[in-house]
Amino acid sequence: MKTILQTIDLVKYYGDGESQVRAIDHTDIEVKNGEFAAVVGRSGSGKSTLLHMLGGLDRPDSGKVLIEGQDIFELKDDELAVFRRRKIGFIFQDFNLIPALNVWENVVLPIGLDGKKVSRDYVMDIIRSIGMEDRLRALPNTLSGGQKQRVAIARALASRPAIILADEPTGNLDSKTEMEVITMLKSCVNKYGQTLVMITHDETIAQMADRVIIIEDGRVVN
Amino acid sequence: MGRKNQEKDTGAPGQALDRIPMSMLSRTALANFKKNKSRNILIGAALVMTAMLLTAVLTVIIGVVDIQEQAARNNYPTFHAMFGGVDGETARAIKKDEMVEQAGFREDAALMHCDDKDVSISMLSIDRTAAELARQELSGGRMPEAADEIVVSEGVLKALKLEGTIGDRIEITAGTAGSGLLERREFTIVGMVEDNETSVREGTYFAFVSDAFAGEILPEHMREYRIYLRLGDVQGMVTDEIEEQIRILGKQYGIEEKNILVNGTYLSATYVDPATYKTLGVIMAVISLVGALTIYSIYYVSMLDKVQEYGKLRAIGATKRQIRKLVFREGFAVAAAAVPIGIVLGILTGILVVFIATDISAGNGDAMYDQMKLVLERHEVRLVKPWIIVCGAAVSLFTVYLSLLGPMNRAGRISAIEAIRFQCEDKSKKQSRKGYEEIGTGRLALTNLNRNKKRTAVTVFALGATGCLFMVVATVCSCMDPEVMARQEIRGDIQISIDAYGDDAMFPERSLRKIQQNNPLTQEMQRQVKEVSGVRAVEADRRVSAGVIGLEKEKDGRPFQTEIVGVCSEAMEKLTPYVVEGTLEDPALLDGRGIIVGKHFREAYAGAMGWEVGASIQAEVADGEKDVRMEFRIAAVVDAPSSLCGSYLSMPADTLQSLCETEVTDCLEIMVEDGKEDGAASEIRKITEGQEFLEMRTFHEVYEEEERGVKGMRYVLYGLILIFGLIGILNLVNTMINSVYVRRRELGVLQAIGMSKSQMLHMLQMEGLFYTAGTLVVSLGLGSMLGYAVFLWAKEEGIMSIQLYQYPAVQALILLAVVFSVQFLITYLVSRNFRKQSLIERIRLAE
Repeated sequence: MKTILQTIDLVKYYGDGESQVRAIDHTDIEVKNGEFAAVVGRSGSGKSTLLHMLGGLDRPDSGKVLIEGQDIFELKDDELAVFRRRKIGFIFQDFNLIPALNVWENVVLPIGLDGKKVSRDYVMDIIRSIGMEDRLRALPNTLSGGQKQRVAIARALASRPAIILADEPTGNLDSKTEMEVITMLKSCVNKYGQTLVMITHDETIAQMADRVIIIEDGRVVN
Repeated sequence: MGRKNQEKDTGAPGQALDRIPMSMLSRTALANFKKNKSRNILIGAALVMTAMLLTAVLTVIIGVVDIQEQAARNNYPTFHAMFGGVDGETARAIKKDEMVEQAGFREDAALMHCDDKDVSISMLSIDRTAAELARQELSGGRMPEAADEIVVSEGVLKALKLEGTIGDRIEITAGTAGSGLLERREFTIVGMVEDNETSVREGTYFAFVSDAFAGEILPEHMREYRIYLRLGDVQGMVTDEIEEQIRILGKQYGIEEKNILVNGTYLSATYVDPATYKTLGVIMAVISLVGALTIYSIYYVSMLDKVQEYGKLRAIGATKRQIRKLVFREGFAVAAAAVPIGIVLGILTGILVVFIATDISAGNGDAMYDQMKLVLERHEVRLVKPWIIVCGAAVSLFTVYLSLLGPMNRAGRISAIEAIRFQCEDKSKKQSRKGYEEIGTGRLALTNLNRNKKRTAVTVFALGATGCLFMVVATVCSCMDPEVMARQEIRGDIQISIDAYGDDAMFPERSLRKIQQNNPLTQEMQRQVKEVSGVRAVEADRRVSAGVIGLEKEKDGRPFQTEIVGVCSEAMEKLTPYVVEGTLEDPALLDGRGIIVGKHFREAYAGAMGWEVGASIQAEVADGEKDVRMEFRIAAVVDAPSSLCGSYLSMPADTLQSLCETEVTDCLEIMVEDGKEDGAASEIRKITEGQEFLEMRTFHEVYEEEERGVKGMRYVLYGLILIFGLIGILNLVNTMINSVYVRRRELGVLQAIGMSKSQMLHMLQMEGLFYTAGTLVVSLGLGSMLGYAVFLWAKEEGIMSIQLYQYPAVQALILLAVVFSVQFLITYLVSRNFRKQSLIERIRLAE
């Protein structure tokens, strides 16, 4: 299977001297096309920093992140932004929907930013998959946490990215909703043939992944 | 749990917090003050400008009034009034009256006997105060004290055929008025006084003697004083009120109206139009309101971001009152720093403006302005006054208070629950929106503006108000035409007119009727003027003083005093297009039964309301020493410039002359061939040289004077607008910064999902552009309309002689350019500053 994401000797330290924190410490990981990888680690283990690096939200001190063979940190800021909206889908812990936009607009926003025509059938299919077809015009403040996260999932899928990065997507949800959302995420990823890297500290959720990457003190331990 | 219970629950710890020393609140306010640095810098800057404007306006207006008064004090006799025919007892009582600040006595003790019957020499006893108030200065020596001491002039000695100087003894024959008895006495000359022009011309001299001499020569029952007095407590009183007070005082002591002489020259030199104070009040109110609106808008915008903070304080038990106090103290902490800076800057600006204004005005021919400049240079007036500082500070603090009222109440109303729930989400109660099928940066910008409709409206309104003000001022400035203004005053290229002092009892010899009895504008002079090289034509206007019956009487009981102008035939033709009622063809205008009324004259006086064409007016026309009662029928009403005599009562010049025995020519309007004006002016100046009662002006001089005035006015008005503009820009800066700051997380998310920097800049530009467009629509649309309305009003009221509408196109373009460039600059700087934070920081910040 083709490697879709690869990190090579990735390093990110914060501070220096005794107070230096080694958030990412010479990390190499690889994720194959269509794979569902869970990154697990304790609080402060560096998993969120890793995800930010993978998504090009933050720049490493050294090392490379390759997505579909492209070293993303070779790109200039604006090129990286374009790359992000085309190749990466994000799902955040606290949903981060745009409050002024309704469900539909939130979902199609990355396509709009890319200046592309929205494929209505494809987007509607995703929205039906997440069960929000009745609430297209609803504003985020009227949605429950689970609904918000489902919209966030749809937004991540809509631009048909190369990879979806999810940062504790169920961290703000109750346990019932948590399972619902994860199940839905997994089925969507499968349905649309997507690659998913998800950060979680929940062992149960991690067990649903194809592969578990354990991080401790910025290093991959398995 | 109901809302009431929640309140109760949080109430208990709140009461506990109440017991915490208030310094805790102050400390929290101070901490907030430091934390909200950028907002407070903005508010501080707005406040500095508000305080600066307030103080500067006060300093300039009050300063100019004071300088004018001091210049008048330096130049004119400074008594407010003179009471004549007062006996000793009453005089002493008046001096002690609490209304009176200063009173000096003068007594006509005796008359000197002189062989030349055309000469009269009064012997006046005048005390130190009266000498000071009447500005009676000696050229040498001192005032007499002993009964045999005297002050004389060269003219007196010459008339008496005597010689002498200070220290010499002279013998004089003197007698009291009416008694006919003459007494020969010897005096020592203790001082000398200069002869004035009138004394020499008319042969009416005076000498000063002592009160002791008056006591010796006059029996007590014959002693009669004139009292020169200044009223106390007239600061800030307008001329009419001072006159009123004088008459009340006179009445109280039984002084007859004819014996009360108001020092009109001094009072009008120090005259402060009551409108000046009203205008000052209006300007200060406008500044305060604009300042308050701006500060309120800055608070309003930044408050959106502070809900959680106040909510947390509520959660740990702060009461509503304490939250209100917190906001209040934070606001006043900013004021404590900003107001003093503003006041200092305001005083400096004010002083600078006063200096520039007096400098521009000086040297335009009016001696008063030169005196004012001198007063300023000699530092005779203090421009920095404690009460101005106090007033500036008080109004500035009131502005802060006004602008804090809203935010204080809003912050007080925030509940703990609201804050905890608040997740940087839209608080609107809207459940859904129709939205767009596809969404790009443009639509995102629109959506954002739409979500904060009220904020958008407040900002556009505040900015638009400044823009409107600019357009109104610009319209007024562009309609002020020095040429039109000059043409209001002078019709020809050169004008020679009689320099009469309206109705001034202090200078009866300068009244129009008096001068006309020996009219200097003789036929011979007119002939000489016509012969000057380059003179094309000479138009002679005439004029008489008249008391109009039926209008409000003068204070001394005479009928309303005005003038009837005789318009020369050439000007009569030019007057035709300005007729608003009746006709100038009316034959009554030729036989002396008809009269023309100026529209503004009719509107200015209540008694003239019913003056329609055909109505009659009765007037006492001053013909030499006689007052001749005449009746006129109104033939026409005109709305014409005053140079065409359209502002008064008028009739054809020849008709007016035919009604009078005296030669009543008043003004020569001289038309000169192009390019020959300067030569003609200097020739004519030679002809009028030495004529005390004539005044000569050229169109060029009047034009320059008006141009200077217009220029000065423009400086002041545009200066005000500039500062209002800066306040407006602060407002825009605040709105833009806040719109980015409040949404920093949202913008971070947008970038995370792929919005590029240029897209973000574009989106913010679009948002800013909306404010710009809104501001311009309001400013140029509403502002232009308001400007036109103000033009119509100014034209109707004859303000600044505005006649023609001139759209301020250049100013509008400047406004357009400034608003656009300011907005682009702000957006650029804001987004550049925003980019300094890393994406991760921004996404995390709000967590």
